[in-house]
Amino acid sequence: MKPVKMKPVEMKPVKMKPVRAHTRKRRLPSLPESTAQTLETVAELWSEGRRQKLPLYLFLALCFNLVLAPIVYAAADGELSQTQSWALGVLGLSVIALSVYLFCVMFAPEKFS
Amino acid sequence: MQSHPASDASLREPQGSRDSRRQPPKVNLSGLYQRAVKEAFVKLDPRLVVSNPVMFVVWLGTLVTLLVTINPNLFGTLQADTNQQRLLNGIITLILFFTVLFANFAEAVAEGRGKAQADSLRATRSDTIARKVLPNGSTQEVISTELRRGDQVKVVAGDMIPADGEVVQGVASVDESAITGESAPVLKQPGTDISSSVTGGTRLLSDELLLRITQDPGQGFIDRMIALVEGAKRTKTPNEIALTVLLAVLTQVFLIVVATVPPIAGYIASFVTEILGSEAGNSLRTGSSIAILISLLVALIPTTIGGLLSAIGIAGMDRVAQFNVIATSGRAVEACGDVNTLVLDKTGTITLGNRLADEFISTNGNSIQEVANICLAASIFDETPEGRSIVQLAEGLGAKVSFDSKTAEGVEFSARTRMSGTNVAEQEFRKGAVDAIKSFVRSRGGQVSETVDQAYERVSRLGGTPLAVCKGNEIYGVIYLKDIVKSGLRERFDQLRRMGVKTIMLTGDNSITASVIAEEAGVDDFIAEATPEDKIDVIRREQAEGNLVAMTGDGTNDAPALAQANVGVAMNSGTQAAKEAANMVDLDSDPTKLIDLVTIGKQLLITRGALTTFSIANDIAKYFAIIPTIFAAAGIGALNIMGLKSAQSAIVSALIYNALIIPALIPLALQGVKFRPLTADQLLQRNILIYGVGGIIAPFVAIKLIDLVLPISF
Amino acid sequence: MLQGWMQIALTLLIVVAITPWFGNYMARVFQDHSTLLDPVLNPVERFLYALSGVRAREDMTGWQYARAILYSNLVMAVFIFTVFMLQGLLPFNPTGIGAPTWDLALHTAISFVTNTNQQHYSGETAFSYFSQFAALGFMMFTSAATGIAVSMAFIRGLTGRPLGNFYSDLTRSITRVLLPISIAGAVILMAAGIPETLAGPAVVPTLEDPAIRQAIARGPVAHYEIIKELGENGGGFFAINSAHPFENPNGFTNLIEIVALLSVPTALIYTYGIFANSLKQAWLVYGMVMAIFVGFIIITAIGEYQGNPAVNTLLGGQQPNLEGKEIRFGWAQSALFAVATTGTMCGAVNALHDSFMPNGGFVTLSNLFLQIVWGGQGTGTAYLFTYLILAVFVTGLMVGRTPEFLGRKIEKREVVLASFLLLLVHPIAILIPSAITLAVPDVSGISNPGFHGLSQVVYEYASAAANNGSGFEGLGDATPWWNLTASFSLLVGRYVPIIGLLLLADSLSRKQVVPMTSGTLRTDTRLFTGVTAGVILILGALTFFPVLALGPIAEAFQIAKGIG
Repeated sequence: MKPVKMKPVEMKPVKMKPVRAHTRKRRLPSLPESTAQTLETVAELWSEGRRQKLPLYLFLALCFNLVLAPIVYAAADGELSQTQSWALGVLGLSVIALSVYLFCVMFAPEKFS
Repeated sequence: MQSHPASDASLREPQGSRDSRRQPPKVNLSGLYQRAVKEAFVKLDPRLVVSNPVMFVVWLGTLVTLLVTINPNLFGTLQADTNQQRLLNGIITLILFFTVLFANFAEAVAEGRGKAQADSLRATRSDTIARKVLPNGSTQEVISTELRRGDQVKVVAGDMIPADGEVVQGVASVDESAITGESAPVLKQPGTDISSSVTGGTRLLSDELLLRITQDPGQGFIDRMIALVEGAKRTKTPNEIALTVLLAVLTQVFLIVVATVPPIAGYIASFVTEILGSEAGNSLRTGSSIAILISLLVALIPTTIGGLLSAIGIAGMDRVAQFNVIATSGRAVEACGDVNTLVLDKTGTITLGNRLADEFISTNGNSIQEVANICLAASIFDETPEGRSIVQLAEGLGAKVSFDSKTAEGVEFSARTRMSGTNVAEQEFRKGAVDAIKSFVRSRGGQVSETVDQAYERVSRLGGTPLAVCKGNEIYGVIYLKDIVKSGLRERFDQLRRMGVKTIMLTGDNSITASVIAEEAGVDDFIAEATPEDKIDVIRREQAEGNLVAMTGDGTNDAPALAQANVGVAMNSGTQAAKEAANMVDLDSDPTKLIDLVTIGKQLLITRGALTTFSIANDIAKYFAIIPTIFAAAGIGALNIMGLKSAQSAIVSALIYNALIIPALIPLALQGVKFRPLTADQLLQRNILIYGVGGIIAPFVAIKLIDLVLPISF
Repeated sequence: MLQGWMQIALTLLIVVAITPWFGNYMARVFQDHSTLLDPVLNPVERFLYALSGVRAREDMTGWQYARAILYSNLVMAVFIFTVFMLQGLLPFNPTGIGAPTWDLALHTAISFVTNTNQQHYSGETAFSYFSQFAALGFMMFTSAATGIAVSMAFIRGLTGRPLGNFYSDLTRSITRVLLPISIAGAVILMAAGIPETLAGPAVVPTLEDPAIRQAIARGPVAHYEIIKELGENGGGFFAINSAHPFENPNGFTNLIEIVALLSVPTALIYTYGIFANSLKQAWLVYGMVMAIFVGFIIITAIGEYQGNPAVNTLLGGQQPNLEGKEIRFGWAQSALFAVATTGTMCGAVNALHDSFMPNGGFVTLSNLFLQIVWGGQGTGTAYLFTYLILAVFVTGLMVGRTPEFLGRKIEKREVVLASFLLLLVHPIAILIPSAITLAVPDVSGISNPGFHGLSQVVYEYASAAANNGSGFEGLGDATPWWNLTASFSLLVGRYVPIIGLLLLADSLSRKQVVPMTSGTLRTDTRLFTGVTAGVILILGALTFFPVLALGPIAEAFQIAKGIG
């Protein structure tokens, strides 16, 4: 009986990438310490942002909601305040995201073990 | 006929009922629940919850209800008392939170038991000082973790064996109770397949051994067992995956159902406002507020099975471990339930390992006394239980040897000659398989009379093993070696048959003997005069017919068959090769346990099916509790057949039931549904009645009771 | 009252009586055994295959079969769409009807290619004779034959055979099943008084005042009528469908039509029994469906018989509800027709479903949700056995083995396909568009607001998704919104399940058969059939409980209380 190889879970723990940060630091030796640190952080965030897709999607969803919320507000015919429309838009998008997630589980359940 | 590891088998013959025999290693379960509670909170990490679709939905729902607890009008202004809304939403949030917590707790308890089991195994793992034998022959004391594969170590009485290894030299008894729970010591000696391998963590009781280490540290058998029992490498089994799909589909369906309620309810509400006034309309709108919709969603999705699914799987592994069997994967445990053919070795599994001489049959008109003398002479150097039983029987008949045993010399049994005996001066006493002795006699110029064949047949018909004895070129008689079928096997095979499991017995005996034993033991089929190659052929043939095959084995030549079988159980006493090839290892080296494994596998599947059915059947009551009450203003209050007090009370009752049913069913999930050896139809009937019909009725009763007790009145 | 129940019982008896014969005949046709019509049809089929270059003996895989269906249906849809748009220029157009709007033509094309025949138009004023018989009539054969082909491929896969060849199955469904019966049926219907003519509307003086002349629409109706029922098409030649005296003039034609529309889905269960070599299971499943069917008929018929309490108060006594019904059919045959036509996804109507009591609304909606109370042409039978597979998976674990159906293990792939197409397609195709329609202001076109209006909207999408095609009516549905959203439901409700069913059959046919032992869950027992009914009820119907509760159930309580 061969054990079936499962793909590792797609969740990546948040890890720093010291190597890249280090090279940045060497290229900018003359800058004051605080600026170098800031740049380091930015570099980290950038590299992190390229691996972690979730924050990006969240950001895009919130941007999309800026378009969605006024539509909800208009459709509600004055029954909803602007905040409520915005919240409702986020909720609707979350439901759609949840639905997409459930489809992923349905078609690739191995990834979620 | 040194056919089997006599020394080993005689020391640990399974006797009496399994329960009295089994003494699993002591597992420390104290503090299990405290740790599980802590673990339940740790498991709230969304990155962990995301692997369980049902609980992930509940988790997200909790987040949203928390938001509407803080601001009840977040998603729309409700025409109701804000504080009451906040209180209701707060209660809902709390119950949802506990639902997730309970599910995590169930998993944590199951894992905790596995960990406790692993800890007790790990206790044997404490670093010991080993005497490493250096190439120059001197010994050096090293810590056991520094040993590498191929190193040789010396172990003396009282020492802990430092790592898995093979006996190179020496004969000694070993206490393996730390891993097997069996207190009787086991004899270890080099050369033989079975009794030459030792396991790290066991203790040498007498004498000393020279071992060659076969595993690097951390790779040893116990290390792997610990990892498996702890669930470190747990992956979902095929059945679990299929079930996860179904649960995800159901969750998706109910997500759509609930998400489409607001427009529908809103449409109805504006209509109701027109004909019945704004109060009814507002009641409908409040009834479909976000918190209530999330409650409806959580009540409808299969949280019960979703929360317990992984606990059931872990507990299945754990139950196998309690049986002193280590499975290499959950998949293997699950496959046990699907097995429909068991391939069993006759010796050691169906019959007691050693056959005993029961009778001497003379041939060629020799007297019984003469035969007994020859048998004794041929067996005095035979140390196997069979040999000793021949000596015993012969001495009981008053036989004596006619020579000084110091002048004699023993002839070892070998698989090639298939006989053993004694040489005294020019005299050759031999005993062995009848055809082997026949050709031996012929090679010495002797004749074989028909009486030998008659005796052979007679013994075979009785289900015994015939051994011929000869002196020089004359066959004097035949020894009737009786096989003893283990007690209680017939009933177990009957049970197996009822469950649809076929048993095939494999034996090296001739077909007449085999058929008699098969008849006596009640197996369905047998393969006589089987070689190890036959084993794999039988397995392939059965698999080609679509059967899942389970077998046990211990020798190196069993390894291919163990690998081919769907469930291969290696004996712990077996060789490393056999253990590597198998997907389970029985620490007690009791081949009969295969039957128990089938039961455990079935139990695991039944538990999963029962809780799934229960969970889905619960939906009827939840629908009838929630929908009519929250939409009572639409005039469907009459559907509230339970007579629940109010929408709020109905929601809270249904959710409380939904949450509490998880911890209530934890014992069932961990221990498994009680298994009865019934046919599939009987099982279905029984379980449908309990978990299907019960699953429909129980929530009606429970929700009504909770509703009665609840002091909620808005 | 007794007469009505007798009519219902007699009709059902006839259906049961012809099931074994018809089921056996279809099994022979699709197992390539010799049948009566071989001498005539074998050369015809050979000619057709040679002409089209189809290698009819070549088995297809699930994907190949599905692709063949998709491509051929696409070609047909484009063809009939073109015919509609050009009908003003084409012959056989005595009344000079011009092209319909593009969205109506699109909806109609999709609706007919999916065997739904949902009509957002009135046949006599929207389409020419040519469109009726060359486009719509043509689709009535091919879309029905597609359904039969799917069920055959599914049954073959389920029983471990190769799926077969779509083009061959399509051809044989038409030449061996649909066409012969339609020819015979059309002749009988003509004899019973249904017109079959290419002449334009008859213009006659009215009886009241001979000076006033009235145009009476007619056309090639008889042949259209029989395939409309036999193929579960349901698209009427006239707007009011089988309630029209030229489509369904009397009790005899009504009987023929009900039997015709029930005959294929009922017989296919028997056909399965022959393929699976388990007539016992076939009859058990048949019995289960029949029980649900009879239960539904009783619920509907009682509602119609008891009539509307509000009307009864005015009349001063209990009268059957005859609003929207033809007096010649009465409450019993109207109720039977309604349950049969929604159950089988035929969609022909001989009474206005909108005017049924809430009981009828509840039952017709449930029929559309379940899709297995006989079910659509071919697909219904496949759904039915997919439900069996799902029931095996849910409860089969309880016997302690990986669940198997007909010796084939139900594993992840099967669960994904079965649960997806049974449980998820419908909510997606019905609930989501219904919710959107109700949420977006001013698109619904509801004529009777309230609970009934909800039923109207949900019914329209359910009818589209289930490929039924009947209308609750009373809905202003000839708008671009309705045409396009209903088209979405039509396509999702037709092709997603067909692909799913074929892939499911394909994966089952490739499985190694596990031998039957006493440890195997037997699916041909009463117990298991009962379990299946439970699974259908809980998983299939409860999904729609909120909609049913706020629609027909709330309406029933409302009428009972006399509000509104």
